[in-house]
Amino acid sequence: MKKIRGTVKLTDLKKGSKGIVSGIRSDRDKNRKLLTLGILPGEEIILVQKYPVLLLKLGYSFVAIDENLGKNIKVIPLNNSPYHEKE
Amino acid sequence: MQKEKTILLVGRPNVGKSVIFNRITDSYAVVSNYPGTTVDISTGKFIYNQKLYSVKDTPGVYSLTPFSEEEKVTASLLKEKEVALVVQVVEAKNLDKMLSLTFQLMDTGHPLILVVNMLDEAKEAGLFLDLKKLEEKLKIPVVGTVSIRGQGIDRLKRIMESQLGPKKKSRTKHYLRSYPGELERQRAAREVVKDILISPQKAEVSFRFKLSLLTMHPLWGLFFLGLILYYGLYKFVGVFGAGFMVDLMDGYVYQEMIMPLLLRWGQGIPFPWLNQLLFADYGLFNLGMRYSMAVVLPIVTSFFLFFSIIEDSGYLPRLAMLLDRLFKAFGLNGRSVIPLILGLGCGTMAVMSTRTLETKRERFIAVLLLALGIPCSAQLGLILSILAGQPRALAIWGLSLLLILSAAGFLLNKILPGKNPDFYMEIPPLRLPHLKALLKKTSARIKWYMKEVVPLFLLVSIIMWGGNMSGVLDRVILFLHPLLGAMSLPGELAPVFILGFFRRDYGAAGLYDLVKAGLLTGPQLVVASLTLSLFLPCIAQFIMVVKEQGLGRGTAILIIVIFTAFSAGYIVSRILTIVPLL
Repeated sequence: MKKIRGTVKLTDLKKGSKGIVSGIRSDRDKNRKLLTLGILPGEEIILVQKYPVLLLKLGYSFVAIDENLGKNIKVIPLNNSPYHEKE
Repeated sequence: MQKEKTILLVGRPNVGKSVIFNRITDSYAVVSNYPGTTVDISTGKFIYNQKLYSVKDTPGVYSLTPFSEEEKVTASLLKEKEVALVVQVVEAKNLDKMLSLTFQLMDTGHPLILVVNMLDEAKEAGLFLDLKKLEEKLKIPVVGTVSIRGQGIDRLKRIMESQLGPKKKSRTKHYLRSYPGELERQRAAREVVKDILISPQKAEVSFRFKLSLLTMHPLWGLFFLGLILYYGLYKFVGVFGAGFMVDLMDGYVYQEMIMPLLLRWGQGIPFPWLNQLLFADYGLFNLGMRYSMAVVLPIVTSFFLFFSIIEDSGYLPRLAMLLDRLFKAFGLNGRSVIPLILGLGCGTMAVMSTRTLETKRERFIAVLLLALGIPCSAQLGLILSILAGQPRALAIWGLSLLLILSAAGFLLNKILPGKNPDFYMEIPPLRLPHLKALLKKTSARIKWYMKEVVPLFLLVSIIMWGGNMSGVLDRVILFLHPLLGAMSLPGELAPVFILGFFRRDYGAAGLYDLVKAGLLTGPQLVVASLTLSLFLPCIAQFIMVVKEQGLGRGTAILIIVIFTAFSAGYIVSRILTIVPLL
């Protein structure tokens, strides 16, 4: 039973969850790639899809990353509301 | 001679930079030589105060740290002395992510104008930004535009002019802060945008948005892909391009209008060898000109149009996303979608575009798969039209090709050391492609192709003619007979394979003639089509392979490909005799 207030890996979130990025745990190159895409600590993301790749909604943009990158992103999950467009 | 001053257009991909470029330059743009689909530089002209400025549309970049080809190119362009002005185009909706590049551009010291484009999409999403406030904060001119509708363009031009004019006073105050790294830039960008945001209104839920989600869905996305492949590749490129247009160009325009004129003119030539060179079976007019202009050109044009559409509509990244997992089994990842699909158009161009792939391992695998079994559009169109009347033959051909490619990719992934690079990609919204941009892109690609094709076709004709005259050709044909015999194929096919060595589509075109003459049975057709599709890249592609991979690896690829082609042909021919599938 996971604690809701703790951080989890992005890959552990369920489809449709919202969360806030709390940290990225990887090497500098991967870090930089994710940063320029807008994935940085404090950013609110919605995990739109998990398959075949992780599809994230950040503000008004969509970013796709694979599981390998995704498992290095730590997220604080927010309420598990299914994502809707207005955000 | 003093070099022209340049105006650089910078920004991420998919922000409408090219449309802005087209709108501010009023004359013919020249696309220069950074190869591959994402690394082109278009140069156009901007005239102000009787001075000519050269406007360069740089490749789309996310930042200036020189890691990728595009970033290196853009960073070096920014260092040139002739830079008079930098215009950065950003997408209104995602301003918070794009301002990071603005800060980097400010650090270069050049005069900078920020163009906030696609305001219409922002409005649709319920987002309103106070651009005046942004201008005050950043201390650079900010122009809001909707580039496809031409809104804001006049104001942009005027502001460009004012920035290019003589500096009336000493440089106005600058945005004083400079950020040490990406994280700080991104954070600062978020702060700025939060500050200029006018409370978000209700967003409209558009059809476009729903469609966008559908195309990314694992199941619906594949269904949608199937639709695109069917209507786009099969119906448009195959049936229309390779069928109707070729019949029109080759059958009617060339055979019935141009050839008789040429023949009559040719009768006046006093040198029989010249006559031979021009009009004989492998002659320049009969083979070289005919195939390049009447057979290949219509097909390749329709393919490039199709590709430009899926590129500009924003569909390509979605395709990359859907195929990523599959591609990982072959040692590639979703980013390889671009070279592999380009390979369906022109293998040479596709090999060139493998430069954009991140690792050497990926590049090698992609190049090998391209050389092995990805048929170029001319070949694809022809084979589709030949086998169209026999759906089972088409299915066997297609499946065998897919199987062999998958097996090759899978094996390579197991054998070659190294790992897959990670997949990450921004997915832009689906947009209706701008017609002018489509046509410009397509015509630029056709021009490149013609520069590549016509000389080679003519060269091939001359070599074939020479080989024919000297008897060398006959000896090579004799050599091929036993190989073909092992696959139960008639000897007449030999010249087709030789032609295929020089240009793959050539080979397929030769096959087309044989089929028309009724010389092949169903199973023979399948075996021949399959072997040809696998057999050797065309000489232009091979030269490109050597350029990209080096002579050693290029030769290795050649050997692997020849071996696989004939083995596969042999195996399939045996299978078809044992199991009467046709």
